[in-house]
Amino acid sequence: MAKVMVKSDKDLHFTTELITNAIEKEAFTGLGIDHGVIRSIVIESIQNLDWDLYFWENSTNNSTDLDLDKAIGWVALPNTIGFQIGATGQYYYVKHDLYIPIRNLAHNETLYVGLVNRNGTQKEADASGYITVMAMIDDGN
Amino acid sequence: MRQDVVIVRSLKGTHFTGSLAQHAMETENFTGLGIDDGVITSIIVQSDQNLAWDLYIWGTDGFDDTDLDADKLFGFVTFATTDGLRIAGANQYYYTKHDLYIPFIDLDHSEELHVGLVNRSATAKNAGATGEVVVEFVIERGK
Repeated sequence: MAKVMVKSDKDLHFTTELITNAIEKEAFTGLGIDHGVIRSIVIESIQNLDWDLYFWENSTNNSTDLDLDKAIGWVALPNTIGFQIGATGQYYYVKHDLYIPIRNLAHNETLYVGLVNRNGTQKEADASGYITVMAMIDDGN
Repeated sequence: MRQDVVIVRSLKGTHFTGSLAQHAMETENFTGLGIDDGVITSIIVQSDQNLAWDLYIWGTDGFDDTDLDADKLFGFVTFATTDGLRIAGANQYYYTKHDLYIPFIDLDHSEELHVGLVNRSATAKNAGATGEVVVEFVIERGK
């Protein structure tokens, strides 16, 4: 199976502040596929907070209309799994052994992701709140 | 379907030979994989000392970088001291993790596995013969 790696850019994605339970949504373009299986996720973050990552099938993302909301899964990455190296630098969070099938109903080779801060401390904007998200996707081929 | 398996194993006298204070890391590039991507399915650690280990897997020989865009971490695995078992109460400690699914890509296209060993114990890892550690990765490339 071929692997597709998609990683956000710290200066372009998830750059705003997030109060508790707030979400910031991004569309990661250029996947080259419209369906696959997310097998692992890595977050790198300046702040050690509790993160949820939500995945949707189209750009509507979350909607109060349950028929329109095409959520396809989410993963929790609590601050208890955030580790630094040498007690300095960014916090690393990983989730392996995942099996989250995804499909893109818009057929535009894009992954629709939402980052939610579940911590009582708010996520800071910009440099003091830098965060990247990486997903490894099996394309099924 | 049978998968092609690649086994990569460090050498006790060559890799991870330094002392490591708590949370410190030693990095190594394991060459000669013959592949640039695969899935790590098992990890075995043998160690003279019973310490808490993390093994980090990166996509480049830049390893960890404070620039989050430059840091290409693919994952890490933790081994607690309680995972370390000896046989007959003597000699090295064995730690294993099976049933893993850690996809990785060598973004350097060097057919290398870029690994960091972190000591999470308050006790320092010793350098040299009293602190020998060997790490073995089982990698499947057809997955």
